[in-house]
Amino acid sequence: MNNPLLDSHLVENRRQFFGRSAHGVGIAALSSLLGRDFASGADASAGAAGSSATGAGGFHHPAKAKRVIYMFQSGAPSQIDLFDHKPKLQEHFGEDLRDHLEMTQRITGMTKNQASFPFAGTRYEFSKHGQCGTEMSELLPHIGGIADDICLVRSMHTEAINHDPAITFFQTGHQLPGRPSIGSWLSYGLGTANDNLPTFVAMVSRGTGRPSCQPLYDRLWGSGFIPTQHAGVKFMGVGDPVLYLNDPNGLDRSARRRMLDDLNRLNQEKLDQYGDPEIATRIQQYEMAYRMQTSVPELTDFSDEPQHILDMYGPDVQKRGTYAYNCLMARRLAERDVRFIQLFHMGWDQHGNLHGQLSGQCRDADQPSAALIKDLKQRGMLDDTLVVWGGEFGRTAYCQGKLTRENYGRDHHPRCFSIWMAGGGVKPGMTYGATDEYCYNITENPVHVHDLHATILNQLGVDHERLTYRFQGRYFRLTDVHGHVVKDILT
Amino acid sequence: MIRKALFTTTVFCLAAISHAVEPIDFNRDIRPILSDKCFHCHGPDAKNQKSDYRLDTEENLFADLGGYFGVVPGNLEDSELHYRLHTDDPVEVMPPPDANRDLTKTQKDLLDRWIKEGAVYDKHWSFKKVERPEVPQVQAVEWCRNPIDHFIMQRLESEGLQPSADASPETLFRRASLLLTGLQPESANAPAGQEAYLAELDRLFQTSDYAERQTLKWLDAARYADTDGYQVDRERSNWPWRDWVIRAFRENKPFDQFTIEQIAGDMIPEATEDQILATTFNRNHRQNAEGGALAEEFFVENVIDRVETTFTVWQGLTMGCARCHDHKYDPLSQKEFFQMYAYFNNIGENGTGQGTRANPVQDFASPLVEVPAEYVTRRAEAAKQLADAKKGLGKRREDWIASVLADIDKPKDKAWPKLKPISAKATGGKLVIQPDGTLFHTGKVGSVSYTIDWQADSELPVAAVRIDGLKDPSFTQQVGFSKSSNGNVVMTEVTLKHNGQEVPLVRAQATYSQKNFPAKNLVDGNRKTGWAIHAIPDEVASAAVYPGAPIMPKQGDAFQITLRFESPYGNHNFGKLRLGSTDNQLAALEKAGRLDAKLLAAIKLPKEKRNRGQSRQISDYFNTIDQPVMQAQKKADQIEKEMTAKGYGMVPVMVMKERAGDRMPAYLLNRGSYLEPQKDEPMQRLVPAALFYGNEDQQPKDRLELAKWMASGENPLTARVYVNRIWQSIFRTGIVKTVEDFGLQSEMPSHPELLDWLAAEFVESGWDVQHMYRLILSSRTFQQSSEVTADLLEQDPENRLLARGPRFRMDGFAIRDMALKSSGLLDPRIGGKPVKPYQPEGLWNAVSSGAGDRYRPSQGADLYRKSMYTYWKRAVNPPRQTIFDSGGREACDVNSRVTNTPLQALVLMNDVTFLEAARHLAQQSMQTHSQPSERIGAIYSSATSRQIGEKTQQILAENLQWFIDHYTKHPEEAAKFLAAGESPRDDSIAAEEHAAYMAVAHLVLNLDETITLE
Repeated sequence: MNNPLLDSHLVENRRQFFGRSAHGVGIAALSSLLGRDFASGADASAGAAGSSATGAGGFHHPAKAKRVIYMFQSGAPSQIDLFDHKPKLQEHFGEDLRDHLEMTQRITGMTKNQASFPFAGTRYEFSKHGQCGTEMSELLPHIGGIADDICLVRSMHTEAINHDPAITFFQTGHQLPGRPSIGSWLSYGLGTANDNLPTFVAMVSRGTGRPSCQPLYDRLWGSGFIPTQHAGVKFMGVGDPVLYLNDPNGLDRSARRRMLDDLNRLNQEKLDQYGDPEIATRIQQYEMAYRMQTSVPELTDFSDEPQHILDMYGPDVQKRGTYAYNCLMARRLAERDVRFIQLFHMGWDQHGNLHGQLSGQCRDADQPSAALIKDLKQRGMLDDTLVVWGGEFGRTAYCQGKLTRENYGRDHHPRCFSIWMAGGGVKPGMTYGATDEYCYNITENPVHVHDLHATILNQLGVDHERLTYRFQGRYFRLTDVHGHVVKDILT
Repeated sequence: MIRKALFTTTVFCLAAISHAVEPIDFNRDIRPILSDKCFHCHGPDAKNQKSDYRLDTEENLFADLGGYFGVVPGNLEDSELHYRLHTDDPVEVMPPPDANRDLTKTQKDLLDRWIKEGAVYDKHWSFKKVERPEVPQVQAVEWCRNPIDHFIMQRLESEGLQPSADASPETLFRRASLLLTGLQPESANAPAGQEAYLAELDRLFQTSDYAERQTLKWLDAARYADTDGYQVDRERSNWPWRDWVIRAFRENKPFDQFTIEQIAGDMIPEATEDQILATTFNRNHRQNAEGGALAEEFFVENVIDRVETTFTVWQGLTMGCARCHDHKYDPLSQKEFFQMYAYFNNIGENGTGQGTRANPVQDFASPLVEVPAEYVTRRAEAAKQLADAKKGLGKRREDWIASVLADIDKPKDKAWPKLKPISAKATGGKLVIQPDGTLFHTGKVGSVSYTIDWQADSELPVAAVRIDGLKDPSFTQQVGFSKSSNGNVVMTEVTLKHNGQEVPLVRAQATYSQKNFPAKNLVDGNRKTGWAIHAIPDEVASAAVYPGAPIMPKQGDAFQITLRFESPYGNHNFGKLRLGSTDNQLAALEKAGRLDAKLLAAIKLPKEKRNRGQSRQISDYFNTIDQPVMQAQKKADQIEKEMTAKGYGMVPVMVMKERAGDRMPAYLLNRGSYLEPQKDEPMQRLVPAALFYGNEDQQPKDRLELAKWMASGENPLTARVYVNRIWQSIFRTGIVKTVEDFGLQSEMPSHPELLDWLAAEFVESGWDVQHMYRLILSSRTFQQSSEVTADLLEQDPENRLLARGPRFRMDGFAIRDMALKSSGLLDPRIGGKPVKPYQPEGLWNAVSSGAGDRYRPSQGADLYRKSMYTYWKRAVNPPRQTIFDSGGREACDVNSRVTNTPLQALVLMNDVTFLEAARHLAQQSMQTHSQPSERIGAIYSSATSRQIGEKTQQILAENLQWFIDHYTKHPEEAAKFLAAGESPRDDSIAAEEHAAYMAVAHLVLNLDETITLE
């Protein structure tokens, strides 16, 4: 009964249940069952605790977006080589950063003992794209091709300087583990929009640019202290697409149906005797599982995709576990009203051999990312789908390790970096924010991680200050006590 | 929290009705409103709020605000609080409309009534010392079996509720058994009558199952895991501590002792090894080994984790909130937080790096695992040999010192006389001795090794042997030392023999080493690592290897050296080389790094002038180079290594060990950041004033005294917090629902007097945990039926008033263990290394740093160990556990959660664990019974410990018949179905029939009543 997935079916089942039960369980029980599902309802009357989200669906204000696709680029893509062109760095190539700037940013343990901090100008060409003329690197021709559909934010900043705290911060609004992830907050706040699939799905792919890379962890799509059913469901790249989804060998669908029918009869028997509404939930839980077993294979079967769509996503699209596959899967999940679709693409951590690694990373990510935007757009879905693309921090203007014109490495730089967003009420064809000529500090319109979170929630009709969960005596929010909606980039 | 909100709705209304005639109770009725709605801006965190007016203490609440008062007892009109709550003025009204903290009418009325009734103030209930309340009088006295029942019945009577009938003996015994052991009883034959029931409880307390079940809950609280967490997430080996906990529960160690040993066992005078092992509790924190992680930052995080965990587990307070600023609700200041920090920061730890090396670390074996006799014998033999080897050690050491001293006066012979090989062999190609004594290799090879012999031509000691790689025009120019594609060389290992006996080599050094290929790899015993020389600027590439002590040869003694070039790279062997040796060990030692200046100075001192530390240094060093000791030690190490691999040996365990000498200073960290210590004021060690009873000079001075204070009856919280968690484990919800928070934002206890009575009982029983379980399980309250009626569901949906018994789904650990037990597969071994049962493929390698990081399932009986022994990787939790609501063990977790999701159904439907269990359950029933009805009954009873009912029997019989028909028609399906799991099947049973019974058994394992405590 705690699962929004089950909700619409529970109502039906409750009618059966209350109609049949010898104990004639009353309406109070019904309302308590309903009330548990969302961050809504009961609280208003209780006036005591819980979230102050309101109404069925939990919107605080009209939503621009129905769903989010977050294409997280894990490891931190180099903004200097991809999105934020700095000719000055090329001009002062090899000169020490400290001769030009006061070095106030803290430095990781990897380069803090480096004798010099030479500027590494990018080796890549930048050019203007689209009518808006947004400048991007030659490594991203396809994303360049959708420049008029996206909003490039060059003034992101964060507080963490190591991967684990930084990515945890991006996913949960806090550097240390234990908080719910963005998708969990939305599942908790808004409930589900579909019958047969999870509300929040996570998918992981490994980059070919750097196959050995920063790992990921369950908590990035976990539900922290809010109930477990709001945790993201990971779609697997191997084996069953959802853990334990497939029937075992030797048990075909007819046998499975028979098993569930008799299981339901026996559980119903127990319910009639015992009256515990948990048993009714148990029955529904199994029916929902059965429906997932049907709907997931249909979801993962790409045979209904026309060739030109498959081509658009590139050659890896049919290969499970690749970023291209996950991008097309994201569109299919979006079509089925999964509310939060979280992709993680690993391998963007270029401490050295940036040239060798970045070309592979971009080959993986460029075409499918752009294809997803185009695909959503042509289906009219981009308007109500908010897409976010970016990593956990930026990279340094100075070189880590050996510097040559052709190749170099970059350490972590949380002070300024770039992400882009599209659809869901975000202004297309614009850039927002700016950094100084060495890409060291933000000079204009800084956007903090909390601001991004506030903006994402806002587009889904949720006031980030009012979506709360009480734990340890405190009303927790995704944005803690911070965050401002970045209104400038919204339509 | 949603459920909380609901509960508050229901019970709050009930409370309001029944309390209408009762006077206002400040703790119950008023403070929760003030705390929740006002403290955020008018609370203890005075520094960070706009208003000076505070409502958090008596003094503040009634303070003179300059001619007017917030609260005037008995006078509503003059009380500013009343005005501010009720005014329509949008500027003056409180709380401000944009604060999202509006009060309900009921709440406003309560505040008004409180003021009118005289505004009686009271200290927060949980900070008051525990005093045992009177057991209340009730009308239904005959219903009550022990004092607990009186407290429960008093509330039921005041709410007008009737208790439920007693549960049947079989239901009751199954309930008790699931609670205490996490496993169903052996059979459906439940003890009849109270006496027999209590005797059975006593039997259960004696089982290891009981101890393991209690331990499992403690592991969640202690954030125990088998990896370090953070991004690198390496394996650690703190599991001997887990076994320490099991043993403590098995021995029913008094909870105060249990507390003191875990918080400060290392500081107990004459601390035993066991008491040191106990302190791992506070080293189960995560440990960051990420490349760029800064030690100072994570040192702070580790210490803070200790403070937070200790406070949550023993004090039920959210101390962590005071890290960055004064607590918003509780009387805990930021300064007090860092005064508490000062107890926990003094163990000399390094904040970063792998856990197994994150000092303080000490080697332990599991206190539970019994070492097989074979190992006991071998270990004893090795120990004896080591002792024998140490005979004459003193003499050898003195001789060695004399030889070193003699060398000091000799001129240092920098030249290394060349050795003249008498034979040379290569495993591939040809190794030819040239007239000048150099060796030349011809032929193309993959991996290769050289064996070269020579004879001693004098009695000069051999302190080191040097291998000189030489260039030749015929080699590849780039590096120049071999015929490989770039001319580089990778030498992987060097071994030396003297008269056929291997001489252990203790170190190696080289004139030049390529990055990541240091010379020490030559003598590390690992043929996969090596020394390489890419980009060497020199014409000669030299590496020297050193025996522990110089070899003293006789003229003509045989020497043999083996050089291995066994890297994966082809032709990476020296094409041309020569050998040399030196007799001057001092020359060798000085360079070697291990003989440091201090040691040399100590050696130079006359024996009688050396202090104890210096003598110790010399003997420690000599032990590492003395041949007999080294050889015996090597053997002993080998046995330990073998035992460790099998889980019998010692493994490094992270422990607490207070530093000697001056203590590490602690400072208040501004905004909680390690970058901003306020160094002008070092923090004293003090516990928060709100919790401390006694004179200032009795404040705990160190961690041990702190532990004793926590474990004393004087502490207002420890006993309350722990009995509340016991209560939660039995009834699913604590008397205080917010088990992790007993502060001002906590939920009021549903039965405050009962909580205090239990806390007092716990302390007076000598902190006897089993006594508390026995007491609660023998109450009539516990023994009620858990059937739900419409009235009960309406009046008390969450069963907080306990007019019925507990009923809830078991956790993921127990659900698997119960299935294994019913099938007879459950492995009964206790403790030891963690194991890896079945897990879906791809989970680890999908997210780890390298795609090769695979989960390799255990084999044999290890597949069927209890779920509490499942390897807990923090980055990728065991999926079965987390799908069933388990926390991630990243941080302390004392809550119990029960949600229901379709993913859980999928686990029970499709996980091989349950299919294999069903196969065995079916097999057992078929082996012991012949009639279908008996077999079905046996399957049902094994899983549920109940006699099967008629209707159930009938449905299962129909199910069986369907599957018999199905598998008779599809025998190939039967074979596939039966193939689930690694364990063998009894082939004498017809496959189709077996598969059909397996389907029935699998259905039974999926039943609501199988996985539910009822």
